[in-house]
Amino acid sequence: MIGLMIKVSGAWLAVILAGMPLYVSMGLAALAMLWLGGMPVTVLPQKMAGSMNSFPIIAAPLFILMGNILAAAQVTDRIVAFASAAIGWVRGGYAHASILTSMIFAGMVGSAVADAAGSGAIEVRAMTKAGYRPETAASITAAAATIGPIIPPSLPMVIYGITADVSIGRLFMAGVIPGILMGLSLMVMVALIAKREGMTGKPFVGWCALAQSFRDCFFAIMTPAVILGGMFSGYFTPTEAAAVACLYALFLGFVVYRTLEVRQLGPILVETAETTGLVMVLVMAASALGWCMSISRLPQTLAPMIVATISSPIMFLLMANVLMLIVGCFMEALAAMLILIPILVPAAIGFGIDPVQFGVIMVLNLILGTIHPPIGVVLFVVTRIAGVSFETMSRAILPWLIPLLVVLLAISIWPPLTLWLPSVLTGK
Amino acid sequence: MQTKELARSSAQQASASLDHALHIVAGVLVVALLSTVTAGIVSRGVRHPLSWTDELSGFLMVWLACAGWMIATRRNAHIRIRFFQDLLPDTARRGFEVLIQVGVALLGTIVAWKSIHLMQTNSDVEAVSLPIATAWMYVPLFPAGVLTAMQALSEIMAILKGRDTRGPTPMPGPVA
Repeated sequence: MIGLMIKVSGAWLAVILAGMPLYVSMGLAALAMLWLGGMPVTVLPQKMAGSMNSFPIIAAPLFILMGNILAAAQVTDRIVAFASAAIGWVRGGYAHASILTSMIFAGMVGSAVADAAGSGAIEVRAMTKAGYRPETAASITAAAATIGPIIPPSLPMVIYGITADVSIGRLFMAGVIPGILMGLSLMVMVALIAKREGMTGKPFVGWCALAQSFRDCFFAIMTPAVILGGMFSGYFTPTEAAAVACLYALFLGFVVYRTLEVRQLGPILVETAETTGLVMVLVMAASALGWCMSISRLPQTLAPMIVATISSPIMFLLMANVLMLIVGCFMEALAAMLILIPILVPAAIGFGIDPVQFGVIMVLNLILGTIHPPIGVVLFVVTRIAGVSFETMSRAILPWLIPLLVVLLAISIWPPLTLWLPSVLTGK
Repeated sequence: MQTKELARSSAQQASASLDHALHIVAGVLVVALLSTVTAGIVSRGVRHPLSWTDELSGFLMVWLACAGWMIATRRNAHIRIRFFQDLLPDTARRGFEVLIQVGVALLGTIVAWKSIHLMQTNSDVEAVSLPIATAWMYVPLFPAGVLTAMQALSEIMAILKGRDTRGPTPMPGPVA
């Protein structure tokens, strides 16, 4: 059975690289396993539907909906104004403001692409207007956008939590410190190169203007407080927190800021459904394939082999990091996650690594692939915004990967960076 | 000639109507899902918890996922790695695309066909908290499979007629 699984996996990877839609390649691999293994093919649609009939997974479309509502309500402009007023006056202030904007925005949307697309245009324009090179401005925006899926809420963490059977609430809390560290490390990088690159700041706007900009975006900034506060006070589950966050986003758009119109709701709902479909059809197919893998006992066989071959947990984490970074360069983050979870998570548990810590490491690794060629989707987005060539961006982004890799290394070798906050808040 | 144009125009109208209907269904499902989860929170808050909200939201999630799958299929937006395929010469690329679409059609057909079997076997199994059969959970797989297969066949026809197969650029990674 394992031999069959390995053969099917080889053919499956070949068709992925040949350009087959990822969900189709997963579905056909599961189909081949079922058919060649003499099992009923009906298992395929049964597992596909069964994987969706779960309460925790409903958090995914609701967080997508919340992000779409907030984007349509144009809260980004207010956050950019506040970040500029708060930190724009130091050397390299526009870059610092861009990073701070992404950190705040990360608490509202759980996606790097949404972050880059939502606030990227304003940030890049402000930086280039201040004399920053377009590729530097775009690189800073892209690097800062990777904070989006690390600070909660985070769509990749919801998917990881469901697939690896890990508490989504603990994963969310585990992302807070690494997300802040990512922002701070990027700010240190800006401070180091600001003088050499001639990065300017703008005059301090004054305390009154700063207070006014804070008031303007206060309710938007409160979104993560609503989500996390509700979850950790015991009022809501993560799924219910996502629903409350959607209602809060509607309240912001229609009542507080009055920037949302009823006619915008139709496209928001359809876009939410489409993104949900794109993500969920992958989860459905991966679920069927995952079932085939567990029947073939592939993870149960591979995990002890990995544990026996690699000498220590740290060595395993370093090797897993390298593997995930390479995979992340060539594969879309969600697909890579769904493929790697059944193999790497049991091995990580075998080494005594907390699956929550491993989840944050995995998400960060794969998100770094989004700002790295050849399939860096965030890189594509900022390239279009900044109007620079993809080749230029591919070179310009490289130095900005260094601080993020340092954070990745830190959370890999020092578990309290990820596990301290969840243990304090949940008592586990 | 006129008959051909008439047929093409009818096909385009049918296609637009299908998309419109899909968008309405998907929109309604998103609203229903949000409302159901909210009803669960509110009813618990007023100490009269509703027993059926979790199960109904699970069913709605299956329907929404399938509706979104169909919209993404219609928009040719599913995630795929075109990097290596795009390096191929035009004829080879088209040949590969035909093979890929055959795979898509096969998967769609099997999902649709086997979903009928699932509906039949679950038609007399009642849901735990809802007065409906669990077969309803498998219903949306049928149109999703059929549409996937039909779309793939239409792509194959188009490739064989010499149309460019690249289609619109897929959306950036949705969860990244």
